[in-house]
Amino acid sequence: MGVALIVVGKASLRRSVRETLGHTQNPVRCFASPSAALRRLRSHNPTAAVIDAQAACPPLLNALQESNAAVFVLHDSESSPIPSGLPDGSVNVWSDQQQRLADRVAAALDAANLATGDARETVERRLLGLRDKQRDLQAELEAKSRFLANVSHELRTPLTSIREFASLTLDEIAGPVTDDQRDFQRTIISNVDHLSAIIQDLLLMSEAEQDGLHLALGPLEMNRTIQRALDQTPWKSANQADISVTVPQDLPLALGDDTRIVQVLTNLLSNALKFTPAEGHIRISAQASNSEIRVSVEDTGRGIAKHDLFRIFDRFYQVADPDGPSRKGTGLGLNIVKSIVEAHGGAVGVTSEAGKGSTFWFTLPIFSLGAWLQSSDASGSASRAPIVVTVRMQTTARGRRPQREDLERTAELLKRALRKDDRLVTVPAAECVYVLAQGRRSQGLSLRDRLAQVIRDCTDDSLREFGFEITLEDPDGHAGQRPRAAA
Amino acid sequence: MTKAKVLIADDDEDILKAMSLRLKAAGYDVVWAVDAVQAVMRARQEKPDVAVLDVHMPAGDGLAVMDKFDSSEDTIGIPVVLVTADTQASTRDRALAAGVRHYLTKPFETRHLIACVERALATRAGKQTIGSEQLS
Repeated sequence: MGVALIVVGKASLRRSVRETLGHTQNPVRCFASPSAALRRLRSHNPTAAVIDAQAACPPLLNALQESNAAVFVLHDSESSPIPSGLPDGSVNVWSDQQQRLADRVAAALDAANLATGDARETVERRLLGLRDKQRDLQAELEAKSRFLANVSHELRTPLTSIREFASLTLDEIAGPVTDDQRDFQRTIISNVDHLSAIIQDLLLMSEAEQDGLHLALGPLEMNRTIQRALDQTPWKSANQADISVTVPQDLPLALGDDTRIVQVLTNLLSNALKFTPAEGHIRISAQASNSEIRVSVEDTGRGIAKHDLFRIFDRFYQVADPDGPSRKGTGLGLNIVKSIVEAHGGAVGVTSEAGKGSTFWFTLPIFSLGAWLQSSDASGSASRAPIVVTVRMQTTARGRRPQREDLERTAELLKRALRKDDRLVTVPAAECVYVLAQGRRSQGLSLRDRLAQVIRDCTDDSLREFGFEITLEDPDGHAGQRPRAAA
Repeated sequence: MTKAKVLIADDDEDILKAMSLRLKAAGYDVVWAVDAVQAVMRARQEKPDVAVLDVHMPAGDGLAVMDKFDSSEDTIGIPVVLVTADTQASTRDRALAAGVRHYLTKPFETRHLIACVERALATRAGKQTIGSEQLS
């Protein structure tokens, strides 16, 4: 904030003004010469100025007028003539009118302060209004989110019942069923699955729209993720294209949200199945290039026309179907694929040739402890910096080769150390399993202490006999390392 | 070997009935509850080997029931399969943060329910046996 008043002139004037106006809250700066005042004028930006007539030179007066300060020039009639070119009402005779002068300066200062005060009040009022509006919007968003969760709940619960009872009938829990009945029950189930997929898509889209997708990032073994997607893709029947999976054994881990990436793959697979004839072929492959994992779903279906290719990832866009308008779908699938992949920092794309087939691909970052630690999910707060535990298994005296399952099972043991709210991620690497744990102090013990305790217990058990070696390590040493999936 | 006992808690009676039929067909003993309070009570009386809890229930959600389990000697350490009809990431995160390892989203497939119950039972059994288990 600037200065309210500057005073330029003799020491007696400076003292006198200070004394007279001393009771006000206005900061006063005094200068002996006009040149000194001029030098500081811009930084002080005063509301008013009191200047001795002898110091009232044109440059100072002009500068003060330009900065809209109220100017009072004091003229001691006995010693000097009134300088010319002064602003109206600014000349005051010193001594006898001292009090009136002080009043006018004070009034000018008050007016200036009042103006600032008004402005401040207006700004504050508007800010308050904005805050209210923001609160309303926030409440609205929360209400919408709650509404969606409720609707989702309300729709899914009866769907679960429908599906379950159809499935119970199909499994002959209530007695034998005829072939026709079996067929009908299957139709019910496949339609329930379709309906719940649509609900899932709508919810995900609305979540992405509201505040971006929330990802639970972790290490992904692409062959397992693909397998899960295959398990979850609704198969139409035996009458469909066959599917093959090609993933190199030494493919590095990807950094991603398993549930979401399964959804990406499921969407791509469903599309491929939908548009590929029974005698066709679908190939899922993954490979590492530079710092990315690239996953492709390639089909020998009927392909996509050029004019559709440009819009295929758009929301609600559906390729016109030559077989008729009966094709099921919301036009959300590929848009959701794009949203999920891009939220991971990856890219999606498609190449296609009409009549020959299409290849949809997406990329994900390669997992590294460093990247994982930096992801917002992992770096929630400094006090929750992850602890790295390495579980290694040496070839034992019994000559038994260590299995990945052994390592993971041992890593599972470490979960004993966890308390509520703690997190633990196991990261399989070539010759060990990294366990990344995050958590707060609980009952006087830090997570590190608790892990150490469990490790001591583990090795006191007969684990050492089997060649397990478990070590607590400093995460810093691992940042940037790139563990590879076990062979 | 005696049958493993499963507590199922859900406020939707049709779902309770379906789950109960399914679990019984798979050879489990089933006890049920229609809200959180009853779930805690039944767990104390019946000491189930595993509990399948719906997240949204009257009188407290499935996570609150887990808390209650942990606060009593009788019920501490009962493995829990959490079932929810909402797929919001926040619910999933809350469950993960609470240490839930077995999580099912409605509508679920029966084989997934049975598989989850089996896995939950295995973690409980695993706790006592892993140290001396023969690794193959």
